[in-house]
Amino acid sequence: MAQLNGMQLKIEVTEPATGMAKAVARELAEHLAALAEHGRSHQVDLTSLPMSSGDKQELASLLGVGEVDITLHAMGESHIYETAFSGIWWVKHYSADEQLISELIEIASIPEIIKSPAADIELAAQALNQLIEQTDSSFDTGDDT
Amino acid sequence: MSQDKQVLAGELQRHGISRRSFLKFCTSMASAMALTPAAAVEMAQKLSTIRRQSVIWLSFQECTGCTESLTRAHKPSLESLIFDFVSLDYHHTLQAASGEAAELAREQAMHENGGQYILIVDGSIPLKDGGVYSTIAGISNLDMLKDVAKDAAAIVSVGTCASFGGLPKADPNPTGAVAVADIIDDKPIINIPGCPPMPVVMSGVLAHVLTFGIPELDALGRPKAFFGDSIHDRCYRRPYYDRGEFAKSFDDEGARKGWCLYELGCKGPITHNACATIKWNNGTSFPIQSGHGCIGCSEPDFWDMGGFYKPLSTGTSNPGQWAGYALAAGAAAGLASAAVNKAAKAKADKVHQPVTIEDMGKK
Repeated sequence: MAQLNGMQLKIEVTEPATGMAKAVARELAEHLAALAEHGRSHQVDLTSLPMSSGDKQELASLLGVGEVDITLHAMGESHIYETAFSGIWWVKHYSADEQLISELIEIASIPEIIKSPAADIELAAQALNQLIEQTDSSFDTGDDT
Repeated sequence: MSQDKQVLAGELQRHGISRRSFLKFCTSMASAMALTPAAAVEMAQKLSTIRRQSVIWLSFQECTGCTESLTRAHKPSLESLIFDFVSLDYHHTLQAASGEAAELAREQAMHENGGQYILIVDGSIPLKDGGVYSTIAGISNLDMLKDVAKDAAAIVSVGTCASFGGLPKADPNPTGAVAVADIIDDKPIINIPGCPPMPVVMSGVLAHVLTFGIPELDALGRPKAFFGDSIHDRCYRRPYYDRGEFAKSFDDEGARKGWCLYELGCKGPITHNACATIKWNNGTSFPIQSGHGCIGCSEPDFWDMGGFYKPLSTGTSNPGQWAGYALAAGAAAGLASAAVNKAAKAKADKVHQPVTIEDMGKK
């Protein structure tokens, strides 16, 4: 696949917009209002919507780009950015071989996947203490390993 | 074996799979299964607390295309992550053991996880002449299926052969091939047809079984999340169908413009699968996008539908069954399909050999 990409065999053609962008934008506005009023977060799955590439471009330019841009490295990259509308995040998950595997719009104060999982924080706290103790003991004994 | 019994989360993290990777996997699975987005988080939580599920995979009259589809990724893909959630205790093609050691592994898994393991079957089961046409370790497929199914928690029939008989069952069905559900009637059976099935459909359904149990199934035992819509309903060429713009041959102007392939025999209107949305080869394309009609590979008896290049309007060799599907597809389309069909049929009759009622009755 990498070789094929290198040969630039994949031709990307922008399909015409069908008006889906506006429909999705309306849905987003509704959920954003719910987030503002009740703190209820929501996700709209773009992967399963019959949107043309033109529709997606239209929606992306409608929503604009905000202040936050995040790259996640977990079994491939994920590109996440906040749109010009606070609370609306555009999330793209890529696999290890750089294929787009899911694309969604998350209406939340912060995308779920960005939050540090509680169990990981607990383990990290232990690990950090352990590391400090180890370095302490290596200072104490003058051991430079 | 003992580490297999540990809770998954810890084990996966030791393999360098973070909780975020986990959530990412679940997000793509939930998306593919049309679950509510909140389900991804719940799925991740559940998957991280379950123990490794024992899976026994039996391959009968098959071509290994289904296994190939699921494992074809040469880099670790999210889909192949599913193998980290299960303990694949027996699988001809993938296991290292062979001969008696392999059969021992199967018996051991059955013994240790009685009533708990998931049985995956690909391939049909020959019944003719005492089932001599396919045996494993001298055991007929029929006997092995019955033996392993007895203590299975659930059965997943992977591929059209295990689901509906598939290619081995194609007329005149020389081996007397049947589907799993034709033999086993006292266990939950999930059919994941397709020749082969889409990788994400297989891993998605397994992830669902591990976390939320058996997914919602249609009348043919297929998970509705993937088989709820017809190819036609989700086809990007659908607007051409609605406008009556059809390619008449594979090299005419209509074909070049990407018009609807209905008159060239596309079985999209009667075929339920997720190819049009999920697509193949990491979302690159699917048959219709490549300019060829759908051949209906996830439907029963697709091989005997009267020819891949005969329009649906000329009938199929299995009229009773297909008339029902075609009718449903027409109703779902919610348009004057009768009128469209009439025009299509008139044209088709000129170009293709007409199929008479008598012809359709012939087997």
